[in-house]
Amino acid sequence: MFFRIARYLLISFLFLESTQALGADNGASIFFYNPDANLKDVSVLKARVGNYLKKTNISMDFQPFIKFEVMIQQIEARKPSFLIISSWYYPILAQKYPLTPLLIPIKNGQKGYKKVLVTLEDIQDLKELSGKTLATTPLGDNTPELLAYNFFKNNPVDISSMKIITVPKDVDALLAVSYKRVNLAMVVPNNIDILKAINPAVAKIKIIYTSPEILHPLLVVLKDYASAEEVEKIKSIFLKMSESPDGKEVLNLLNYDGWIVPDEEILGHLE
Amino acid sequence: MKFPIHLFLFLILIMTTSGLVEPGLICFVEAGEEIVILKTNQKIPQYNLPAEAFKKALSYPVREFDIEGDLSKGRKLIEKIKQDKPRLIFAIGDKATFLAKEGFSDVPIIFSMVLNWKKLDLSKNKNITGISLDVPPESQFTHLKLIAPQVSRIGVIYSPEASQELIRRAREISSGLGIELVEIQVTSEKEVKKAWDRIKNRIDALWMVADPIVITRENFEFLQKQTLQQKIPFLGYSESFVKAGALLSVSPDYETIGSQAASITLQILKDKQKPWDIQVTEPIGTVIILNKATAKKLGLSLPDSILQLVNRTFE
Repeated sequence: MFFRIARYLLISFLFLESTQALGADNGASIFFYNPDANLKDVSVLKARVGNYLKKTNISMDFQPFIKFEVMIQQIEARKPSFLIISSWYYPILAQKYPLTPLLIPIKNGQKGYKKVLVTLEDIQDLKELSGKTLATTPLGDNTPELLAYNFFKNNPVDISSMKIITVPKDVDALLAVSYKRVNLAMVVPNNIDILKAINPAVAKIKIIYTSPEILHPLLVVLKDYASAEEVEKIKSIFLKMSESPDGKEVLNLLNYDGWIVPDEEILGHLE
Repeated sequence: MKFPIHLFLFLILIMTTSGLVEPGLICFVEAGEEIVILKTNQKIPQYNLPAEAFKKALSYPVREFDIEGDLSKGRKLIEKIKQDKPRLIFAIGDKATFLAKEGFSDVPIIFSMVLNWKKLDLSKNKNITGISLDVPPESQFTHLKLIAPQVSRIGVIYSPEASQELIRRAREISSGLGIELVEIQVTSEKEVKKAWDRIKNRIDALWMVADPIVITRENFEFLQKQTLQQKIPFLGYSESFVKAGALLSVSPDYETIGSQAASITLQILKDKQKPWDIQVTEPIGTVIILNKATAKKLGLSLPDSILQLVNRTFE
């Protein structure tokens, strides 16, 4: 019931915001929205990707967004050809727009990542999370609902009973839990290893839950706004990104190694 | 008949996104049901960040008031707010906190964005708790070690009058981080240059604390120049220092402060905890600003995994 409400709210929001008809002019843009990335200042990302695209001789604007609702407004206003969006927003947006996934980034050969729930407390069962305070990076405008739907899928966690504090990065969540300012933190496991080498207090936390795999953000085409030629060109540019210094710079900034075409398993996962 | 929760939420959504109601004000609110956000001045963008995060994290009805930096206007607003009998007040900034404290003794108040909150003297106010602006030393030192892993002796020049408590905390956590805290006390701004002479050969990083006795423009410029000459990383506490040449600053993330305030609100309204029982907490979210030119001069190598942590850089 809870998840249905959350989904309903998100979808309702999208439809509420859309008042203009699809079609019209082509914005020739790529929009980017990934709330799980630590992006306070999107200007650097915009400049680097813009620079890379310019060098590949394609006239395409790149626009990162910090807020989901702003991106939705701009999709209506500017009608971008492509989006790079968090995988958990794909099914929501796909209900409104004719989207096709084109590419997915990889990191260390992986197309996704898992998050772990860590604590200093003696918690034996996820049912014991009720009432606890959790620090996590934001997943979007509805972090608790998205957390429940994506990270605690099929598990008996009553997110509505928890207090969720959103922090800019995993380091903040890890320090908060290690120094008992929150009960729990949801983080990427690799960040625990980086931090505990520096701060022994972090080594005392224990993992009590591992999430299902979450796909990295997807490059998708808004079919009504892009030509077949543009699609092929963008795919080619992104697939070759790791071959040039400028492209590598962009990948480093996004923390990926390259892009691949999604296979059947990935496409199935999205459905 | 029970009103379906999803219909209620949907109606709220419609009203807040379609411009039917003022931002921050949601209908179906009886007197005594609202949470009030009291801002010192909403023309200052920093004050709006915690307010937005606070509203996003809560499903309670919220109403916002702006005192526009004017205490006399603020006092009139307080009288108006009193008539509405709010359930809780989230005060943002010094003046808003001062007025909320002055005007309400029985309504829970959560303060935020207050410089030197200890000056508030909360000893007689059992209805107030809040979030300070002091990033805890363990967070500052951990971030410093992520950027400059070789650091093991951190120097600090401070006045006991302003910074004793902070330094005591830093002392407590530093050994656990494998850090030796090298402290020099001063009692006036004129002693800072001599203090630097005493400390400079015993440290491999300098930590600047928000100590009004130590920090003057002249002292900052002196220390910034000296640390660069000696190739010593300089950890500041705000972006302006990094812009002026310090290596790094670790400052509070204002949106996280709003999110923390929402969490405290739930402790008070849902878990029925008393504000007095909830300790004033430190900000857990941080904004990391790095001066890449200074890092280069210091010979620091910054892998991408570390640069990912940085929110903003100066070249």
